Amino acid sequence: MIGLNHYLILSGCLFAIGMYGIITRRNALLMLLSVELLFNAANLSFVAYARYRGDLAGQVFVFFTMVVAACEVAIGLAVAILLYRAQETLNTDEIHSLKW
Amino acid sequence: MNEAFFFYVFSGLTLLAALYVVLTKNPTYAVLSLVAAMFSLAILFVLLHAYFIAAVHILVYAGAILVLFLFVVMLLGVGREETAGRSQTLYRIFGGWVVLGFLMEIGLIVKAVSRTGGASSPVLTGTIEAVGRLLFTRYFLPFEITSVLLLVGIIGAVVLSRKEQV
Amino acid sequence: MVLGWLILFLPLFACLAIAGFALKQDKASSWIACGALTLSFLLSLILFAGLAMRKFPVLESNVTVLSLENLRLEFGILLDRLSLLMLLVVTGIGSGIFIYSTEYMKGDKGYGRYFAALSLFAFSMLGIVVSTNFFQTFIFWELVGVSSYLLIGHWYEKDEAADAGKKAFITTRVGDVGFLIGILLLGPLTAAFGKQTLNFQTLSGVLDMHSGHERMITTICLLIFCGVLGKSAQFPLHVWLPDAMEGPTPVSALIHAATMVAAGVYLLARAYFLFAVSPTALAVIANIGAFTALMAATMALVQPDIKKILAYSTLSQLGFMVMTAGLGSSSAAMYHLITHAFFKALLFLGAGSVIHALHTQNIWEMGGVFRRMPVTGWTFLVGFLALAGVFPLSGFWSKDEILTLAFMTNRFLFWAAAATAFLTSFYMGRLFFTVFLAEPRWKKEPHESPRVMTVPLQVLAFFAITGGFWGLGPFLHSHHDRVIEWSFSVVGISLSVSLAGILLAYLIYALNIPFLAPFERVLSPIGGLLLKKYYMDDFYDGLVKYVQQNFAGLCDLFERYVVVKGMVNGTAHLTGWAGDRLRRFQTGKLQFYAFMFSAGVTLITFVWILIR
Repeated sequence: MIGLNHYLILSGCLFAIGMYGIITRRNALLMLLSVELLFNAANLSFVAYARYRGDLAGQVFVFFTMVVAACEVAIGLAVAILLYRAQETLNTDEIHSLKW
Repeated sequence: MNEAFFFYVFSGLTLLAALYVVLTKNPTYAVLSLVAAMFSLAILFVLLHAYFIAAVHILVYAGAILVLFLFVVMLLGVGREETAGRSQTLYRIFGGWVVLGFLMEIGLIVKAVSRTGGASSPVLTGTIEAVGRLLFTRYFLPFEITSVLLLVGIIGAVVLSRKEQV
Repeated sequence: MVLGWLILFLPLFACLAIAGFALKQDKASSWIACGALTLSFLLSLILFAGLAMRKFPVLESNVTVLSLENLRLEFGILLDRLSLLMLLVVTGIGSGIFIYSTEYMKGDKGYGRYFAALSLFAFSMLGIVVSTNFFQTFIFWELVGVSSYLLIGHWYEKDEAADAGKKAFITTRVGDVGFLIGILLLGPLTAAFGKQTLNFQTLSGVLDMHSGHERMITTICLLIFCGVLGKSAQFPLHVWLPDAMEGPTPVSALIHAATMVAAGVYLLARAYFLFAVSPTALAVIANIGAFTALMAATMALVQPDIKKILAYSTLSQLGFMVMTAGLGSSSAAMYHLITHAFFKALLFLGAGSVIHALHTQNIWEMGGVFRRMPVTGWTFLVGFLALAGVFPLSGFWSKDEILTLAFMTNRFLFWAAAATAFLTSFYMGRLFFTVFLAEPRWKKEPHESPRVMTVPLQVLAFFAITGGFWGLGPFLHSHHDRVIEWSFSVVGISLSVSLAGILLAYLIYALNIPFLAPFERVLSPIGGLLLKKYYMDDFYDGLVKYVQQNFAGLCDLFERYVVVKGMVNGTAHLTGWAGDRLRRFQTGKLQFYAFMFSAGVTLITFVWILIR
């Protein structure tokens, strides 16, 4: 009844929401948060495939992506802190020293 | 029956939480609703017989990553987001289009994929033993590499947040 | 064989030696040049004798300059009857003229330069003579053109001389374009026959065996004939030869009477195996030759300049040679070429002698020269009679062969040729009687020229007298030539025509009987037309001024605006503009980047879906 497609569509929607978040958010931290959403959408689809294809490799992969996500968040947050220290703001509109 | 009920309830919950993450103006609320999304996602994992993954998901994401986020938000005293300017509206509109397009694509892909047949196979349970077995035999090398990756991440974080030595 | 290479290169070394070291030293340069050429002549004699003993085998020796897959460019020496004979003629007459020049050009500012250029010319001409293939011929063809340009414009301070040099070079160049295209077309033709080659011997063999490709061969023949048109000054490229008289008289003698202009006829003989295959081409050649001959003879009737008369005479005789080749016998053409070389060189040198003594070139300022310059007078008389074709001088024999051939093959051209012969005798008579026998009109008394100048005259006179008895015609006969049989009627016509011309000239110019007075009204405008060279020069002038210059202007405009402004500048402008537009992507704003990211991903996925 509940087939692979349901989960895939759900995963797609989550991903879309995450994308919207990245585009719309002006705060650097909240952008990172939306990225987490993306990660989770991907994880969901992996696990769904693992279940419906009968191969546990999907779950193993999720395991690895979680590790990677953890590292990424750590470093990302460190960078965000540095940014705040330097510019006194996390508003991406006001951070444009790399402008041409 | 059960499965479908749980699926729809918790997937709806996940989507709602995700939407809230993306749309709210208060950063703390955003983090907290992501936590909620994590929880319902974990339940979905359980529905998919991925018990180990569900547990690890809560531990790592909700317990570690999002707590870290919360710490930083508190530390930096991030306030509410300012009201949108003109460029923001533009982004919202275009972003909306992009997202819609993406959704369409997902729909198309899924439709195309399902035509090629998605027969159900015997259900494998994602118990710790099963996953662990895989991890320590077939996927051992990636396993070790991820530990190195963690190490690198730690070093990176430490280096980055050091105060500059004069 | 080594002799062959030596003969060819000696004059080149002379030229380089003079140009390198002795430009200012008059005596040294003349000795080097004359020495080199006379040495070449002696070697040619030895070579001739040696090969005569072996019954004239055909010898060929080639050096490969460039060897690619389909293309093989060679440079070599070909020794057969034709080239051996021509070698003797060129080096022999050349030596005579070189020696003559040492006296004629004495005191000239560019003495060394003169001899260097002469030596270069000798080298180039010999290169054409011994050439083994079309490519080599073309290279030396151009070299000869260059030497001619240098020598015509020897007194370059004089505007007319410089202009004449340019005119010569450019006019012959026009012909050379056709020549080159013809040579290039030989490539595919020979490839169609099997092996691609430009070599004369090989080509001759190939064409003997294969047939077909008529139109292609005719086209090639006509194109190659363009080169002949230019070099041998046939209509319509004849305009440079009269102007070329601006050069020193020995140069006129050597280049524009005996050798260079004969190169065209030599080429016809050399490549006759090609022409023999195409009757159309031969017909065209014959007609153009005859037309040139007649036209030039008419123009010679009114010229006051002694050298110009001789120049037009050369044009006319060249027309005869070309016509003969067109009518079917290259050996008869070569025969006339050789006899003509002797007596024309003689006439030019004689004229030079007179000019040197009287310091004028206008025949109306001369007169009664015979008594004061006997040697010159007698030798000039010999030359005159030879040219007019009087028995038993050499000119008679060769001209007779030509007329007989014409009689046999093309009556119309025969009568044209006969008329030309009549005019030839007439204008030469006019020249001779006015200069040598009429009442003296000079201001300064002329004296006979020094021996250095008169001895070559006598030698040439000897050859002019005896040239008919050496059997040159049969010597050069090849299987492509028609056999010409003796015909008494032709002999009768030719002799009577010549003598009539001489008689008429005698009456008008020596005895001053006003024959032509009643015809004055009719003849005057005709004379004007002739003097203006049928307005051909003006025609070409207009052609260059209006057609060519405007076209060049158009091209210039095109280049300036379309190419430079449009394409070159445009490209730069476009690059700058694109860069300016594109840098706006670097906003430095995170949100913008994120948006671009997502939009990009979506787009790519879309495309991917489309493809699937």
